[in-house]
Amino acid sequence: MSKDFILAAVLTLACIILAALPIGPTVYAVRKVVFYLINPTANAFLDASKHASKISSSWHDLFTAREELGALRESVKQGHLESLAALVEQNEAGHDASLDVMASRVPALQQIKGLDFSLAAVSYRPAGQKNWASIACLRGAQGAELPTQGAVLQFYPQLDNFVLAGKMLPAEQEIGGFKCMEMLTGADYSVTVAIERTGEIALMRGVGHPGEVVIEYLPKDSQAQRGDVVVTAGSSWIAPAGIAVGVIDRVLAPSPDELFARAYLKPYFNLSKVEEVVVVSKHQEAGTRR
Amino acid sequence: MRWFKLVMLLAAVLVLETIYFASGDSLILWFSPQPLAWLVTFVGFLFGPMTGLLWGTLAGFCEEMALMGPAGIYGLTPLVYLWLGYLSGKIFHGRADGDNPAIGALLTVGAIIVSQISGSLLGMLFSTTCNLAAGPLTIGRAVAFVLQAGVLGPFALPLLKRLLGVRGYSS
Repeated sequence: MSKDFILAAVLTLACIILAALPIGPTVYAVRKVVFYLINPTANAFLDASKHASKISSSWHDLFTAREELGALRESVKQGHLESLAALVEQNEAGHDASLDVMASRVPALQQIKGLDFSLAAVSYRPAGQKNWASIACLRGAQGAELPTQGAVLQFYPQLDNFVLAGKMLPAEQEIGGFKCMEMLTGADYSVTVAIERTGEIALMRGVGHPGEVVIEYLPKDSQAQRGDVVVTAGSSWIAPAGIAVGVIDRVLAPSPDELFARAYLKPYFNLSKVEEVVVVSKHQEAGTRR
Repeated sequence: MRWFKLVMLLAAVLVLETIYFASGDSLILWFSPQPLAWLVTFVGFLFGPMTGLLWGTLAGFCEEMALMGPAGIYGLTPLVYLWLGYLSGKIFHGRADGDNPAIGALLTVGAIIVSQISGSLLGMLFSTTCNLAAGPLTIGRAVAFVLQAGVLGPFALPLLKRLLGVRGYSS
């Protein structure tokens, strides 16, 4: 007998013995476990988990433990989500309370004749240093439509009153469907103001600085001094007269060839806490001062 | 080098078979081409009975490991393939021309018939319908196997010779 025939006979015998052994389920289970170890996806895990008991109870226990661990992780994740939802709810409640406080002050504003007031909340602020100091987009409280013209006021707790925050931008400057306001700190913002103590009228202009604006065209012999309160002059429709703007920080004496004096103002408007605002629209000459 | 090429060939064919079966056995006219059965006979024919039976055994085990379900019986596919390789080498090696298209057709048809019949008999012996990884044998499938093998076999054998770099016969 040739060598290859003997080998064929031996292999035949081995194959027949192998076929007689009930190893099919075990080999299949090992395949699934190995496949899961190589490719640990959810489907591979389910397959391996289903057949692991065919290898041994230890493998079955291992996969059961892994499954329970997965469920535990899922419940922890669910717990985190619930905590987050509670936190959001709490913040929303605080937000609503803040709106309520501000709304309670609106009746005082409404005594100014000829003005409409809308409560609004900041919904979006575009990024970038220039944008951050100049633009905020608003949504009306309870979905109310906001006007596209008018002044925007922020409640200032230390004064227990509203202060100037900026003005509404026209409809064509909406961002993502939101109407936006131009904040008074923005470089393009300007409004006529009056020094409350001296009655001098000047032009206030934002410079893109979050804590400072400039007052230009003060009389050359201005009596304005540090600490003077500045209010809106009401000489344009942009804002009603008498709305507090800020306090003069320093006055720059004009040089001999300059015709006007200049001052720097610290606005009451708090750029970093602009959340809820009031939009004052349909401005008519009210002539009221605080 | 020859065995390296043969093992690479086996791996490539197993990948193809796995893709074929994963697609629900429906890629090529709803029947399996049984490429491993062909290749075992070709290898036996080209390299002799010893290489044929060894490669056949290896191919059978690999096919079972790759494709067999949990209810399968292990050992029957290598048993069929080892005899295919052995007999092909024993009968044809050194006696037939590998470049003759008729021998390709003869080998493949013979391989398919032998593998299907022996697989079914073994299946009955071990109380299953058919334990070959290819699935249960029906008259329609058997006819399809033979027709397919007869048509493709003449081209497959020269292609394999080129792939393995075989010139004439080697043993």
